[in-house]
Amino acid sequence: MSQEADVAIKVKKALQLMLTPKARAPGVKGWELKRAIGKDYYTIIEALGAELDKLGLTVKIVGESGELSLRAEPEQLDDARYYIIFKEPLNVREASPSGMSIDDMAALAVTLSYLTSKRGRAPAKEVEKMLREKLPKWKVEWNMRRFIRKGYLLRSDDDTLAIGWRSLVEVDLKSLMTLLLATPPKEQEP
Amino acid sequence: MQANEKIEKILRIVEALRAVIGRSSDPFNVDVKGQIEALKRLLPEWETLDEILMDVEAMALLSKVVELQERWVRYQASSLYVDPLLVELKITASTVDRLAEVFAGSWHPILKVEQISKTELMRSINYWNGLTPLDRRYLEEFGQERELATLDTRRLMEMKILTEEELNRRIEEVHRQLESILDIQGRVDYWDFIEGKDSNETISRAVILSHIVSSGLAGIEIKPLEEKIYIVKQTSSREPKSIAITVNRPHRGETR
Repeated sequence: MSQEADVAIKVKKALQLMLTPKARAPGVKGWELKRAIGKDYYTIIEALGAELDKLGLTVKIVGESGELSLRAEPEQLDDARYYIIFKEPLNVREASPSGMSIDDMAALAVTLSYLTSKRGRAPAKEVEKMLREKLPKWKVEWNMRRFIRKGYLLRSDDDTLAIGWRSLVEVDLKSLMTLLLATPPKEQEP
Repeated sequence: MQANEKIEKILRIVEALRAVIGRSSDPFNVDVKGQIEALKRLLPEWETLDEILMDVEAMALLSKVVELQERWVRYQASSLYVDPLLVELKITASTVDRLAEVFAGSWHPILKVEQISKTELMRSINYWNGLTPLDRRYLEEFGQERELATLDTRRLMEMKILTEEELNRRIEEVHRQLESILDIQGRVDYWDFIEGKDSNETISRAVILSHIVSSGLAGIEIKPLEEKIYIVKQTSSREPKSIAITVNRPHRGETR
């Protein structure tokens, strides 16, 4: 088998592994990729990334310390989780069919930006109080449960909320803060 | 210094440090040098093992505070640092639509396939073939056959678990929530809607919802290909039919 054909097979295998649903969370661990496609899985992920790029998708690697590049230490890459995400963000209309209403998206934006400003963690009561200014109490509680279940938020035993694994993968927190701060005054409520 | 006084002093230090670490408040509020000096003064007076262990705990918490201080400095120097007050101000002043735009503009959803594979199907068939029938499992576990019984509202009221007023109040509350969602979204995922903060609430919401649907106040739409169940507004044109939905997981996780 030629080297090109071998790479093509491995790229397909990596894609399958990354898209196949898992019991707990999507994506795949580096060591799982290593076991399935070999030690050179970094080069395969690079080749897959180039193919996905043409479709407006990208591979995101998230380790314990946050996002990683393929140039990170091999141990970090083995322990990290690999996801395929949309390269460009959506607009509200495109995002709505995903099951998130405008209210839900607004609630998540408020929660994540507030947590980010508080170094990623804050008492749940503080966040809920802020959300209740614009949403009914039951909707706030419902959204909280949903965001926690989906992995956008993490609730600790001491009743503090933290940014969850899914937000770290799906949400560009830097863009979120920039867009929030860039809200022009004319779009703001009096 | 009295023994009680010494212990109270170190307990106060430990509690204060725990509070700072637990609430993730500003770690620079802790005077690390002052606390170390206080511990140093107390050290020669410790006699029992418990007292020494308390001293060790206080030192461990202080080192945690120093670690938090380092992280705090790193974070403030990073591009993500924004004054929390400014963020609160922006949130309060922004419309819901604008906040939704902010989220969508920074959201890159994960891709995944939701489809059963041939391997999964074969594994499921093998599991099913090897599964002991339920009545045999009950016999093995409890030694006698269990019969199904009905626990209806009347029986719950007789057992003083539920009062009519309480039941009506809960039905109205769930119905109000459902109406608000359906008015905005048109439909809502069944599992999302019934999920409560614990298994009891989830089951309770499922039962109340079945009552609402049976009363004709809402409808159920099943999408077999998507494996989704939606609650929708009731339309009179639909033919009434019975649908059984098993809520067999105490508290739903990622899978069901």
